[in-house]
Amino acid sequence: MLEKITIPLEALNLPTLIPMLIAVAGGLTILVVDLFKKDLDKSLYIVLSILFLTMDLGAVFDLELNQRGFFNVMLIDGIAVISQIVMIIASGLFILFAFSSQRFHEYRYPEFFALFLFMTAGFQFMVASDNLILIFVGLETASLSLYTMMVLHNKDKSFEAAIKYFTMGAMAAGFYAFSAMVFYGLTGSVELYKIFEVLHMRGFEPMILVLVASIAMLVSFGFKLAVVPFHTWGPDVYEGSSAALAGYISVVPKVAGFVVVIRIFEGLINLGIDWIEYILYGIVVLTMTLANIWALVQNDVKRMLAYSSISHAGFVMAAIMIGTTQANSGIFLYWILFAFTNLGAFAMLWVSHKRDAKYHERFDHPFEKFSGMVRLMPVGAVMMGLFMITLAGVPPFSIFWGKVYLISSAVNAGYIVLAIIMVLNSAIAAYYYLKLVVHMFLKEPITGRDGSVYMANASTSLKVVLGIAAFFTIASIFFVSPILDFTSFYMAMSGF
Amino acid sequence: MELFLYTALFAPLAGSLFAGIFGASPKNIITGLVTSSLIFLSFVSSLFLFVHLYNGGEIVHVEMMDWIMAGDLSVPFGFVVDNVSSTMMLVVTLVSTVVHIYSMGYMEHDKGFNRFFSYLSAFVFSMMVLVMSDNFLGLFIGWEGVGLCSWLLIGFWYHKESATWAANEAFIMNRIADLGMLIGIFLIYWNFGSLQYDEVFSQVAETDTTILTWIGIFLFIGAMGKSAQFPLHTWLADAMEGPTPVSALIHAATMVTAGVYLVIRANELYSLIPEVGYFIASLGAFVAFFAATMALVNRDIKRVIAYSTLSQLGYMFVAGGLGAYWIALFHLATHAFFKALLFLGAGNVMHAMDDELNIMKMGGMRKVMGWTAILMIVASLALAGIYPFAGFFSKDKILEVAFDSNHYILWGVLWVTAGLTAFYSFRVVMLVFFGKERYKDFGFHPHEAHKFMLWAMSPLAVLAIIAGFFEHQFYNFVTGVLPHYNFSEEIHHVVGQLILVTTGIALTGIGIAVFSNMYREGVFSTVLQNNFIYRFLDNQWYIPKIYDEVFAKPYIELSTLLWNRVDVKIVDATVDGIAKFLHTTGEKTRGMQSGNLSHMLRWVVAGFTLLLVLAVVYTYYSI
Amino acid sequence: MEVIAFYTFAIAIIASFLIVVTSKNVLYSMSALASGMVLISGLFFLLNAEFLGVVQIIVYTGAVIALYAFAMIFFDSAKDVKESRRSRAIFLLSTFSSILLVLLMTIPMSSDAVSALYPMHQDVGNAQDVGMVLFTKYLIPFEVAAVMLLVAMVGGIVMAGKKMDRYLGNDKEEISK
Repeated sequence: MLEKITIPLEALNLPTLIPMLIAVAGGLTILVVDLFKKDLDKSLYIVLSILFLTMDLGAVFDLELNQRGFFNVMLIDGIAVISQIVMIIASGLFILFAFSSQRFHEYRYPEFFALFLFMTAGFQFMVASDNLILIFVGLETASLSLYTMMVLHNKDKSFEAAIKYFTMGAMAAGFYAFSAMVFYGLTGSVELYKIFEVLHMRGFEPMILVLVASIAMLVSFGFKLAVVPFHTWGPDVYEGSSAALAGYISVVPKVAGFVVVIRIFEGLINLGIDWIEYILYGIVVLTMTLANIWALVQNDVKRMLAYSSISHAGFVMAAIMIGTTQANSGIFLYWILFAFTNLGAFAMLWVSHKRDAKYHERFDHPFEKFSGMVRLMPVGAVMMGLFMITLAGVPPFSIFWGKVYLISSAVNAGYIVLAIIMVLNSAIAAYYYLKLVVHMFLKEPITGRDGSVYMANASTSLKVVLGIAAFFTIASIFFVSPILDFTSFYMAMSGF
Repeated sequence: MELFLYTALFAPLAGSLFAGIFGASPKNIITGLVTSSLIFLSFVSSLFLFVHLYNGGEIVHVEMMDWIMAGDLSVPFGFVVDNVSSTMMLVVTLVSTVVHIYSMGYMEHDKGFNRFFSYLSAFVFSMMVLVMSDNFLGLFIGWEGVGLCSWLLIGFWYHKESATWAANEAFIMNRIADLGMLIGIFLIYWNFGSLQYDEVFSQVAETDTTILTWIGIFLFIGAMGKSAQFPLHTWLADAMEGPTPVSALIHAATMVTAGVYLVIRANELYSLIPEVGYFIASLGAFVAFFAATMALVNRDIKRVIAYSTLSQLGYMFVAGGLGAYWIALFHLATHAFFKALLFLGAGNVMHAMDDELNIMKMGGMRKVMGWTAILMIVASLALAGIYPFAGFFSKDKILEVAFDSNHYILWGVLWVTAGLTAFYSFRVVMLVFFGKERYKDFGFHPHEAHKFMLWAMSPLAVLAIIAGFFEHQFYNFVTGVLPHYNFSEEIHHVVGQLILVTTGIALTGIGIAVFSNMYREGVFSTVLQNNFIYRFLDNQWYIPKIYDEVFAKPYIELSTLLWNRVDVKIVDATVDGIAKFLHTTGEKTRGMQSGNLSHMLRWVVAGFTLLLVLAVVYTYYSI
Repeated sequence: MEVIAFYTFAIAIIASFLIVVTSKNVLYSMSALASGMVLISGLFFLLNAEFLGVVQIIVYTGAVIALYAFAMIFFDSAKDVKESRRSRAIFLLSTFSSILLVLLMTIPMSSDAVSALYPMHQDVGNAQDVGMVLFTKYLIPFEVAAVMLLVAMVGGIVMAGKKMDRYLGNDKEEISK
């Protein structure tokens, strides 16, 4: 018989788990509430979700930095904490979208909100570990929830999108498992710090297999982060899901993805595998450039935003590749700024959502829908214009600072060519964002319309979200410095 | 003291956000009350700060945070309350409080009630940032902020085509000017390595005059836009499309004086470049005269007042340009009081007349709106510069300065303008409040405004009467920061005559207005109206027309040309080219965009394989 | 002895998976898949990993294949599947990538430097060892996997539910203004 193992409870370091447990408990609570009383109003569930997310956020702030728990499976370092903070805040704002004034299929399900909380917990597990198995399980939990939530929109488009996303996701999961298997075979461990240690000790022999494992990992996360050429699902999925969920997909899952990519690839690059750096370089350039060019030819605002967020993700990948402390602090700075602006842009789309209104045989939000918006609803047009020029990186609005910071970090690290490509891409990007601005401000409105079209789905809380986003975008000039201090602090704490 | 500073600054912002939350909901009197009380709070804080400084307290200077920028540019973001900015704060918050309270009555039937207050408070916040900032960048942010709010407020009734047009015109004109200002700020940073006022001004003495001149010119271009100086003046009259309280607050008392404030603020700079100062003064005198002539014949009550604002801004620039900064500031303050009063009075009239603006359709209205008539007469007397009203003190000082510095032509122009001012302001008063009750012919039923609106105006009326008597205290206070202006010895001998002459022409102007009105309705006879000069003035010196011919038409042609040539042929062709390129790159690119799931999966595998091949190649080469 | 068993299993596995991909009849493919899965478990048993062997049979043969079988009830499984003719490029691509992958995987991975964190105990069964690791070191992933299953279950039930038959949203204003 095996001898008995006794583990003192303190050694488990239970507090590391509290944030995720809160989110899971929240999901269960919602399920149980539904069990006892059917047909409660959705606002109850929204409020419950927000409540649990708030508690979750509190628990994250309460975490002590740089500790491990549960046999070293849990890892609470700076990057884990900051990414959780970003994800939870963004989730909280996106769930407010559910307070729409029109009814939508998905919000009739309490399960939607339960899944939302489970998904948050999944992402939190994903970032708070360097154990490949836990990362995988967290990732799959979150992805499964996301697929289901997409389907719940209950339209042909959303089924199509969910099935595409699901199939591609399954394939990515396969690559992930394959990569983890090779790493395990090479090093006898699934924990990243141990993997790096063994790899280093053995001098990366056999190199080719290390590369195979890295490539499989790259494919898997390339899918998650939608970098070229693994981005193909992106626009279709954005188009198929509701604007609310599309906005969510463009921000939160990518944070989790970035964290894992930082953990794995910066580790590998730091160990001195140049090849990965070259490959990332190529992918970054392709992602930024091609996504921008494709965005130019889109006819639908949502698809355009899909390509634009692919391009923005390319910017962040560039920072990951550069890997200096400055670039690393810039990653979260950029993404926080981007998250709020994108939140605003998608909120504008969501506010203008009207199910029966047909603007185009295929798209919900063609550019023509916004023609002459300034005449009909100036405030909305100004807001949307603000988000667009911010996304285009026009000073002094938020994303500009992120871009400047990342580009200067590229220059400082000696990547002059990359910096030039980044600048060129920002210039290209301005064209398609301004296309929408031109439609809104210079074109004649389609006759027989009034401003209510753009506010069909508005409600007070949606307006609050819009207000927050706009305020953050405009006033970001004051926030940049504190946010940068904040991200630098956490990044430095985790040694990146 | 810092607490007061922050309260004064952020209370309007809080009010704006509060009202903004209810932006699209129906009228709610609470928003008006809350924003008004928060502005009042801001006023009280400003008053505390003012008293603190007046009693010889320290200048309050806070640095809120470090403001990071690209690379090495680091500007600490701070606020300063010194003698100049506290004066401005006091004026701004006082007029704002009055206008807020007044607007609760004025806008009571408007659907956008909450939205209006949100914008109005946002404006006050931006204005406070503008005057309180301790560096050029903060000033510029406030500068842009007030521009944005002004755009929103002019275009407040956006369903009116003319309002939207006027808003855009104001915005675009200001954008042009702001570009100049931005270049100026850029030059400052380039040469001094900082944007803090104190750091910059401590270095100006050692700097090359040519650079200073350029900086001065570019900053003044910004000031010209905001203060609507020739040739960027056309937007101000058109801006009258906005609600009248907006005109009172933004286009009379506060925002348009930002240009004057900038000159005063940068006095260390401008005193080193007297040539630019002289240009400013000349332009100011010209605008004063030019605007006054246009006001003579206009029939739109608000436009007359707008032109008079323009003219008074000209006076301020004369004082500022000639180095009498404290006098410019003094006139700025007194002008804010009586001009806001005048506008609010005009607002009452408009309200009573169902938004009719043509003064030819009014007349004899003192019988129905006695209090408004009194208030407007007080304001007009102050504007005309009659003792003992506030305008007398500040305007006479400006004339004295012009005379004293031997700029007799400037003095002459201003002197004539003073007469014109008196004439047109009383022409309006006569046509509106006295004479035959023409409004009856047009079927109007005027009524007096709400009591509380009149009460809200009363502080302004009191100040319009007594503010001038504080000249001495004011002088002692602001010269703590601003340079003294030394009058020469001789001026003391002639000052009495000067006052007499000025008052004389003002009284003559009033007299002509009053008497001619008694003889015939409309002051100007029909014969006179066909006169070339009348038509010249009525058409605003044909300047809008010239603009149309010289700028707008070529611009339209140019833009059509650009559209046809550049946009269609180059930009569109480029984009089409890219699109064609994309679509002709064949199977692969099309496959990527096709949305077919199998294709997508294949792309993933293809990417994977490509990477594998690269990995193999790399491994064998590196060994 | 072990060698003979290994090669027997190996050849049998490859043969059955070849049938899976080449057969045009879904029924054949699936039966071959099931037998392939069972045969893989043989390899586990050979390596003394009886726990994994059993799991392999239960999960793949029992659960996954059973699910396929259920799904096949809904369509005519006796019919031959017509495969669309793939283009040459695709065929080359897939062949090339799989051959490349297989070649790469033949490179020996393990070496002396690698040591297992939780070595097997000689005197106890494989299942106990797995259990020990699963409920200590991997407790958290195990529990999260439970959450994942819950999510999958909730998702499955929701999607299969009656409410999905029609669109429940409408444009009626939900929040009274």
